[in-house]
Amino acid sequence: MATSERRFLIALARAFGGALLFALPLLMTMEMWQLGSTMHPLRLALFLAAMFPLLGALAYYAGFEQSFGWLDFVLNACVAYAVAFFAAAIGLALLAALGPGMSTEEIVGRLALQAVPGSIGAMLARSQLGAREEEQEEERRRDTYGGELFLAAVGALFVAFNVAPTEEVVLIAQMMSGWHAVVLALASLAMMHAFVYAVEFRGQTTLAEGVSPWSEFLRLTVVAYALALLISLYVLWTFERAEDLATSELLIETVVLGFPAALGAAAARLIL
Amino acid sequence: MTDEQAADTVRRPIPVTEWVVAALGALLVAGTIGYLVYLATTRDDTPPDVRVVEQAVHALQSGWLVEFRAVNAGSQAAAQLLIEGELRGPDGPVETSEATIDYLPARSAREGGLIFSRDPRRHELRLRAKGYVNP
Repeated sequence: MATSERRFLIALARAFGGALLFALPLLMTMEMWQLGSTMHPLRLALFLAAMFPLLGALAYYAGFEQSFGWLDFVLNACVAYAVAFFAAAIGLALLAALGPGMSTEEIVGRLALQAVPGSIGAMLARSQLGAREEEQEEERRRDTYGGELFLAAVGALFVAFNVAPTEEVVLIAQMMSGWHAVVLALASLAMMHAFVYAVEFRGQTTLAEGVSPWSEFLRLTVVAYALALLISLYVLWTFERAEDLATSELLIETVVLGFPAALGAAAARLIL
Repeated sequence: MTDEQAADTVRRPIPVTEWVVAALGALLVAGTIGYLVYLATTRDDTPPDVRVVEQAVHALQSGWLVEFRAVNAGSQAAAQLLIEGELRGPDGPVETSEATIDYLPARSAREGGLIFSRDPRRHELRLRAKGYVNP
């Protein structure tokens, strides 16, 4: 077998492992099974379509194999989806959450929804599970302003996606007063900043000399938090958790989901 | 320079397997999105329309079990669907039993059982869905 074929098969197997690992918590979440068939089909279709450019861009920064040109990014995104659908089908079937007696509508919805976190997992398999090999090129791509924000957005999306299907987001928002929400928002910001700059985690960014900490805070942390909130709002809308709500309630719900999303954004900037 | 390093700097040839898997992925996504759009444009949003059918009757250690199948013909799902079975004699109802289906998706079926203390085969058995909430 040609070396390139073998390399691809290894990358494929690793991507499958990544997809299963990243999707597992959601494969075992009851709300995810139901959402696949209760959410509006167009919102699900939009989400799947929107994931495609995101996966392509993710291939650029941290794909499951080294990528070079446009064709590579498109191919990698398609492969990530194929792996994610496959992993979702196997995972759900193993857990008896997919089987005969279900309508096509239900099966397609269930698989399509689970393919989203799986595809991110498939894409990140190499950077997270693989050997840390020559990555200078990707490292360089990631160290740009746009790269940092993009990775933050992916981290926020992934974590928000993991938390949003549960009933608890709505419940917590209902338990909170306006002041709780204000404190939670400020705490999210502070934790994001501390994650990246203060606490000594792997991959931590140190401030370049001559850059004021405040400018870094405004340029990266605040913008990343804003992204995390927007993504939270979008995920809530997609899962129809934003329906029939007063604006103030919706805002609190967004801040609640924004909390894990913010930590996801900060963690992604470090880990990836 | 080793092969490994060379592969990192030079554009690698795309393996055939990668084309095949990528094509499969593209097909899956395009097919799914197409199907979802088709669903959205054709679905008529009819409310849950549940029919409950008797499947089998078993004698238990104490009482009798009626296995049922609830079929939703509507295009909306029902949550906390309450199923009621009623045994009727010549003078009206003699016993009722209830079961709740957590979640019955559109155009799908779920199965369950109702337990009675009298033999359902000696009475008239009426099965029906009593109510639900939107998921």
